[in-house]
Amino acid sequence: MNRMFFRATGLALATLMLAGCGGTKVSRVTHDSVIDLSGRWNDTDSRLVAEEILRDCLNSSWYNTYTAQGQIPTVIVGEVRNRSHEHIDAETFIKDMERTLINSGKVDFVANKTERDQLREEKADQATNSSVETRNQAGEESGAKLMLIGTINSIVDREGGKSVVFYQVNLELVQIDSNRKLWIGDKKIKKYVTKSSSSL
Amino acid sequence: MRPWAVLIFCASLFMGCANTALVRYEKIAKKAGSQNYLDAAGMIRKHADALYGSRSDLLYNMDLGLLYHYAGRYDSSTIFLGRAADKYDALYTRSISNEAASLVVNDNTRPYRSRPYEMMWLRVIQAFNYLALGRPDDARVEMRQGQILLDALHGTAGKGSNAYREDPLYRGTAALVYDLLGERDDAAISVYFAVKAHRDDHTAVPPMIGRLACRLLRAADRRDDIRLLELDCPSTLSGKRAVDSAEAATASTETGDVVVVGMLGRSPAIGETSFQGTWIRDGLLVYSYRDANTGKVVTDALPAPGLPVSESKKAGQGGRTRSGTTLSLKWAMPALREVPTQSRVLKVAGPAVVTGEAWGDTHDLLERDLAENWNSVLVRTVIRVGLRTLATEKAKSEMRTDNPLLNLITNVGVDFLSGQLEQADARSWFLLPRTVQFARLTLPVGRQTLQIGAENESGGTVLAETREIEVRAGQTSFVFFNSLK
Repeated sequence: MNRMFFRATGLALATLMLAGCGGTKVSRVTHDSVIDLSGRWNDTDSRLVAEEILRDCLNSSWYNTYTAQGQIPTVIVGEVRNRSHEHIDAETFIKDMERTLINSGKVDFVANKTERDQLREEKADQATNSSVETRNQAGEESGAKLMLIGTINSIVDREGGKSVVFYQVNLELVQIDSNRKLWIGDKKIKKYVTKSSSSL
Repeated sequence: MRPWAVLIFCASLFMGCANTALVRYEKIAKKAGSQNYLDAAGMIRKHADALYGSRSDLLYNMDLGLLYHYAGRYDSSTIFLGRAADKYDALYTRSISNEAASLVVNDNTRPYRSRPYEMMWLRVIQAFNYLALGRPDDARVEMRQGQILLDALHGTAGKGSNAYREDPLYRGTAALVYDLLGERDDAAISVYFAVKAHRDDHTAVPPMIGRLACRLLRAADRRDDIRLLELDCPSTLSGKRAVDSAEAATASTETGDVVVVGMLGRSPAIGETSFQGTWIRDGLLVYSYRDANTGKVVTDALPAPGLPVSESKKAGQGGRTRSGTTLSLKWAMPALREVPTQSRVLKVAGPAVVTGEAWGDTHDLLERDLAENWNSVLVRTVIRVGLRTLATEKAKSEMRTDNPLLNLITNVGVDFLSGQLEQADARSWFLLPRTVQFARLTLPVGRQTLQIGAENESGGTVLAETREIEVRAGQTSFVFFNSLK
């Protein structure tokens, strides 16, 4: 009886020791593969929301009305505020939106405030150091007519190891000169996350 | 014959000798208490394995995050406190093998999951970091995470009066953050719960919370709540406190607010009260007691009932008896360890002198936490001590010889090894301050100089610093000060 007990204990200890001998493994995956580890907002959410919400934006009636006047809208992405319960890198989401807008070919897109400052600095430098033929002049920038602004919101419902996380991304397209809102869109994501309460 | 002894021997090797939590306190607390935060952080990083190990990984990140906050390295602090929050989430899943091991060895074999108030304060300190970095949106994320945590704690809190269900520090900070972001409803709800927490605990509502509650609840048109909370709000709110008034609009173009957050003193820690009694069956009881607060060990010996006459006769004839054998019992329980604190009151001197108000006190929180968990810790300890004593007795009985001296040596040896296993779980976030205090000043727009200091109970200055602050019109700036002495 005693012998059996100690053999079983020894086996259990050995199994536990071996369980701790994993080490790090890395495998490469495609950039658009969907991998959910923690259930938090991730690169897939950012990309999908940007693509879907802007597809909706560019297919809305405001676009036809706007382009009917012979104008290609010049857009800038303003602030997207994170009002959710997670630290979300709004910069990634903004870049996903910018990429979608530019690649659509339907709108002209201008650099954001930080980028403009960098460009102006370069132009100032060129004014002093570049030859007249190659110099870029100040005061020749394209001004944006429309600005995209938005918020990322979330609601969490949790009970024990189960939680439902609901994200809602709201975007608004606002005419800069008149403050008129031309389009309002949203995209919702709902996730059901479960965590096991025990393991071996 | 030997397996029981081998098992105990292996287990004692597995756990080492000293209680790591107590060693950690001795090594870190003094350095942190003398404001050498970066030295303390450096030492923690250098000796992470020895001082924490994998079972206290959460605490390692909490300690580092807090030390970097004290040192004003807010970016680094956000990283470590963020990691701690992630680790806390991952610890939701309990390992059955760890839980089982804790019933045989001690509670330190389980990973440290923090005390409920510690996780809530982690969110608050993380929000302080983001406010210091000028990232109020991220501070709001922490406040929202705090709400989710509090909801989860509500579900698991016991029914006793000491159960942790609400936190005025968190609620008050959330009110400030939401108010800063112009989110009046959330701010009003937070300040409502801050006042309610004080009412439920029968403690005085700090005047700053009271004023904030009057302003925010009135602005959100929650006059019923003002009545319900029995707040004594002035009928009209003058100056900058007035909402949507012309007077306030003028004032906000010429003045701005500064909120000084003071983290003063040091939280009590957890010590270990232990008792060991060894009955040498030949007629002696040796006992020792260790006091959690002083660490002092008292050892004494008393005469005790000896072997029956028949056994003594047998021993005299060289027969196998229980002469030289022992029965030993040791248990260790966690207990509050007081930490002397000089820094009691926050003082801020600008155009006027403002005294800080404590919104949270770790002494009260830790005391209540220990009281709340006392029964469960006691039950676990009784089971553990019982199991181990049975195993020890079995091992000793199988090693018994005809030689009383040899019996005594082996019995004392096994008792020693078995006793090494008994440790209280003395882990806690002892680097937290004793109190978090707030002071709010309205100052003219522009660069202002403030004298911020900590005073002891008799009004003597413990630590004072001069800070230059840029006051912006109609905006609230946050300044962080700490004195752990």
